[in-house]
Amino acid sequence: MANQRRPIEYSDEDRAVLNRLDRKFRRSLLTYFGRRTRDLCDLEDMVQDVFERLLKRGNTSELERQNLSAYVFETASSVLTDHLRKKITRRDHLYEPFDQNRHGEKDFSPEHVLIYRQQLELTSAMLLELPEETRAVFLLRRVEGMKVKDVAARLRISVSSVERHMRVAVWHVMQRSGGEQ
Amino acid sequence: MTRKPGPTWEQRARLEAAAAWFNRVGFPDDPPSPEDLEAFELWKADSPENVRMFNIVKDEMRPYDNPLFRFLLKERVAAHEAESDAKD
Repeated sequence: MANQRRPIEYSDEDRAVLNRLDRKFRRSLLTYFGRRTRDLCDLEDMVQDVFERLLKRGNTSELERQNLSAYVFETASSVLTDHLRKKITRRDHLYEPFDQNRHGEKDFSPEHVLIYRQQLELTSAMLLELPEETRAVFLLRRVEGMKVKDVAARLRISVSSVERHMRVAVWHVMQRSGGEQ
Repeated sequence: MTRKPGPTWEQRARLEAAAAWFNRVGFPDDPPSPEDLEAFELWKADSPENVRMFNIVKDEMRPYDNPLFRFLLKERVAAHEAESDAKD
């Protein structure tokens, strides 16, 4: 992806803004994206996308006087969403045609969709109750499907810490869902 | 109306153990060592309640096997986090 990026000519003013954004937000954005995607090779591009979108939006100097970090993370969230969508699109070749015998039992009724949405809402609320690091571990392991040692390397913590966070997270999920009954 | 009694300490301990086992053996792409697998089989053989608790954990974790659920969940959590990062 990095090789496909076309070099952009920036004005001196834009370059100055980019430098300021880079100094102020680069590290926290790398952490932000690093905790939410397993595509390490795309992290730099995603950070760059955030800066470019802010530049395109214009009035960056004005934003800098206001609450710039709010805009930065709002933009980061939309960059992340686009990144995830692109990933799904890239997997279009894995599309499986509908087969009544294999997929016919799936229920797409409005009730089912509503239940699904509620389940998503409850699950995300439940995950947001977890301490940040525990949540990051759970997302990388259970949602991204990374191996324990890879999660440990990514977050620069020990394997036993990853295991401990996972125990806490799964236990939390079980407690909140009433699974102990 | 009578209240349903809460779980006993024994049930909680079993469930905690089941959750720990799930983390060790419940990921097909990160298979457990033969020693872990053997210990897991011994733990299950110890009591049918262990098996039942493990199945409860497995069922609770089943939605995460669905790629669409994982994708939407990730998106939603990221949006909430971005919102709270922006507030900070």
